[in-house]
Amino acid sequence: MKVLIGTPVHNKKDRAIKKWLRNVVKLTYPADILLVDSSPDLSYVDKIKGYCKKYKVKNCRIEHLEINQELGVDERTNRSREIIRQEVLSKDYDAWFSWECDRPIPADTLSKLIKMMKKEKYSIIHQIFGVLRVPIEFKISFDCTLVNRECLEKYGFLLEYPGMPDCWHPVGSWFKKQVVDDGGSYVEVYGTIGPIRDKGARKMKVLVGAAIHQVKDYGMERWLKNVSKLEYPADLLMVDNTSNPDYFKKVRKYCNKYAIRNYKLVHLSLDPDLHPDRKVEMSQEIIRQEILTHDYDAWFSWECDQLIPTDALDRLVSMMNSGGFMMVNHNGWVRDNPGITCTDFNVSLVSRKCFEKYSFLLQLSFDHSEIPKKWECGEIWIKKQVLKGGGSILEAEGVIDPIYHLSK
Amino acid sequence: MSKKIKKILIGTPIHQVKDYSMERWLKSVSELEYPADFLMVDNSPGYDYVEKVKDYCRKYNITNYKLEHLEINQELGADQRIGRSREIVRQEILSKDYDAWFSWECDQILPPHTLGKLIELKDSGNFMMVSHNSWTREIPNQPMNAFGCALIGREPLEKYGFLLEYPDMPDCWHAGDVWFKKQILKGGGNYIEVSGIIKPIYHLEE
Repeated sequence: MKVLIGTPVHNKKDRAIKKWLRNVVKLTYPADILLVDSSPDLSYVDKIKGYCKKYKVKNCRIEHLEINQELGVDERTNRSREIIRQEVLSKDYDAWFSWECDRPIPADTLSKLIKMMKKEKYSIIHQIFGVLRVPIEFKISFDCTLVNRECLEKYGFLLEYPGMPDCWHPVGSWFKKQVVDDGGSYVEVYGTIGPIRDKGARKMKVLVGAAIHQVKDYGMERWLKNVSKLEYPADLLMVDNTSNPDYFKKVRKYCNKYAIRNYKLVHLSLDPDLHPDRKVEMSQEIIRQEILTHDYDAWFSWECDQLIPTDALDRLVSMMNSGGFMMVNHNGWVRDNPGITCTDFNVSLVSRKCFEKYSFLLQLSFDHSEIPKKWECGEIWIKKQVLKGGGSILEAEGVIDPIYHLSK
Repeated sequence: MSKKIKKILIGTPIHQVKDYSMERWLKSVSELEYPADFLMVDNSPGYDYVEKVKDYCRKYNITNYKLEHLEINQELGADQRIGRSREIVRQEILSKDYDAWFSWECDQILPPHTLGKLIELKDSGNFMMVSHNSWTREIPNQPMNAFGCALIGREPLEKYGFLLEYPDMPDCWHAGDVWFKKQILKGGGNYIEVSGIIKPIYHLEE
């Protein structure tokens, strides 16, 4: 893959640039470099040339963009990105590695991102450093991001494009939305990308585990029909936390109708007044125990009101293998408001390793102050623990398509 | 077998300084025979001119159009305004799967069969672009080959843009147009420039 590292620079970031150039020469993947300087005059270009010579940076070109400094940093940066985009498109590069000049990264980051992009054909891969951003938003800062050529052929970086949102990083948000809406895919990598599992490796043993309740009966039959058509072989465990015991029987009838045999249906009798989140967590804990005691490699968390393509689990397994991730979380949208991205475990694959260390029962956490007071708090908490423990997470959008989140 | 209708966008930067020709031009647009969508990018100061153009469109029963406004510092000059407006047109073509851009300046009056003829010319040699010459507005005996009447295929638009700050921009009139053509050739593409095939073309001065 022919990659261009394209980075807008400015003399305001001079303190970072030397360190960054030393980081550039250590990269394990060979790539050309284009720096676009939008400083007030040409003097900074000469300074960078001096740094490049000093640190033996090869294949590096520097262009100067003469621009009114009063237009602000967004305008400067995005006009510089347009020059980079032009270079990528006209010189037949396969991808642009957008790497901000104040962002130190491990030397093998680019090569790992490229391997992932090649294997899974993602449109954009964004490596996140630092805190977990929950919920995932239509926001992207391009600080360490690999963008394939196809996206750049269709979309640019000018602030004046129609439909530009009024927010931080508006162009990033706009760009990402265009790509996903147009059938492309966007993934965020949290933590370090692990080794790629080879094709000859043993097939992953997966349990489809779902907490169910009769309030979702409107979607249950359609969901089970969907389960019966899943291509990847997997067992099914449903934990019914309905207080009405008759519902248990109704679900069995659905399973018979769609010839589902390899399933377990457990009824969990709980206090009816218990908060729904607690009921779900207790149900998920039963699933966790099943995974740990029956040698499953992973849990396919699939909410019983979401309809997905029949190859969805194959895609998730492949994504997990592509970077040794502990968790692959595919985002959908909130049931009542399709404009809001939903980041809970609605369509997710969670590896066994995660469950060996962390539980869904929040009262088991040693430090209660860390439990976030938000929707799906147990799931956010688990994600945080995974990252704290050195694991990695992949958050994806647009890879599995379509996903229908049923509301009636 | 009937030929597949190409999805074309007429995309034109407009400005209030060309109001002298706007109504006549929109009448000409309304008479075009080949079906096409229509995007105007107004780079006049403020939004007043947008309303005036909408009235003209109403008068000539033009309904399938979009009118975007680009708020831009007027002191940057016409080339900068036009280049940035063309980038918005380009974005529309690429993101909405158009096959080609019909670049038609808002001071040129063309015959109704023009677009059909340009498509025919472009297809005749599988060219990336057909540019039809007219003459300079102020000096009618001096030929001009900017994108006043041109059909540009999607393929070069995927690769090249219209910003004046791109590296190696020539220092001349219509620099963006010249640079774009150069890139097409550098990239192994092709285009044709023709004269006298579409007539009459009126390049309005007043």
